[in-house]
Amino acid sequence: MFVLIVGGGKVGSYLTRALVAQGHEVVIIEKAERKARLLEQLLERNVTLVGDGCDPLVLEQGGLKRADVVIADTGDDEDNLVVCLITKKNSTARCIARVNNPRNKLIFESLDEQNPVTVISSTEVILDAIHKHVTASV
Amino acid sequence: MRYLIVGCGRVGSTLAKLLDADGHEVIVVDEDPNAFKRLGQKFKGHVVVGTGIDYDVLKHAGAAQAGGFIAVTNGDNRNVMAALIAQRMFHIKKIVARIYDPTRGMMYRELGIDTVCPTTTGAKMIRDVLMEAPWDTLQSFDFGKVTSLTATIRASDAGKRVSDFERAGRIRIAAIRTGKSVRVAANDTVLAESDEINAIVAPEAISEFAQMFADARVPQGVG
Repeated sequence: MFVLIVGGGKVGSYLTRALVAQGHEVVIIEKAERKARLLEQLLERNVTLVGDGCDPLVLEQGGLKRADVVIADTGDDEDNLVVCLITKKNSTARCIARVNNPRNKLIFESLDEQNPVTVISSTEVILDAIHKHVTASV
Repeated sequence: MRYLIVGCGRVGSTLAKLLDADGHEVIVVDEDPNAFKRLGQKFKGHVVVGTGIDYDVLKHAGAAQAGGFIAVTNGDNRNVMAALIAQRMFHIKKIVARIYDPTRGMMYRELGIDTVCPTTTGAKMIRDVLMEAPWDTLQSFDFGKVTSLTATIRASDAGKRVSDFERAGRIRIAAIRTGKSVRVAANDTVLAESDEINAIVAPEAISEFAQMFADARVPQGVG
């Protein structure tokens, strides 16, 4: 599978490492040059593209058209939303997005009703875990 | 009407003051409380501190009853996201977002969000000043692909026909104003001095159009 990742933070880095280890083809787009270089050292592979992943031209350069999956995992919901908007417009790739504000899930899901964006909210995951913990201990 | 403005920078605050002076109910949202200083003493509207891409902040600001929503923060991505929240969660009728990137601006228009692109508009205004443009830019379609301009007929051109100024596929005269009356142009319409024509011009024909109407008007400041 060819996976295109936008955002080379911690989540992006470890995700790339795991996917590469599983034998997938990965390209990761990161805005900050310094972060991108660190990532290359960590991965011992040249899979990083320095650029703004919210720019349609950069995404295209990263291989958007032939991507099977696009993962928007920057730390900003608005940037992830724009990555999804451009992906939905220019490719048939499956879209996975990270959101910080759980309320924003609805907006991501409204982008494509037939083939919805998979939205992952770590806030919600933690809230769920707490909820389960609380209910289990009652 | 109630207008909700997200972003209290130069554009946001100026627009807020204009709408407020016109008697509208204006609510301005910005993350930075200091930004509201730009609104000045006379502003009668409301301010809300918070991010414009948060449902709860917008709800608290009264988005549910807003007739118009304007996203003018300094981030394109934030503006489109705020606009989508306004459209899909609050069902606000009129939504405008400022988008600096013309390519993405076009894409967002397909989502039903009106976009204003100061990059294209600003560059065109500067070009018009540089060329001492003898026209007024009325409207730009698809971010500068085609422009609607007005120009005034000089004494030396009086008696010429509409077709004399047209260039197939590049310059098309649409309407003519004589005094207070406006009519749709026909190929054989004869033009008189000081008639004002409204032309649709392709980007590659702008210089040609400028030469045709050079000296028709003294250069002027824009804005």
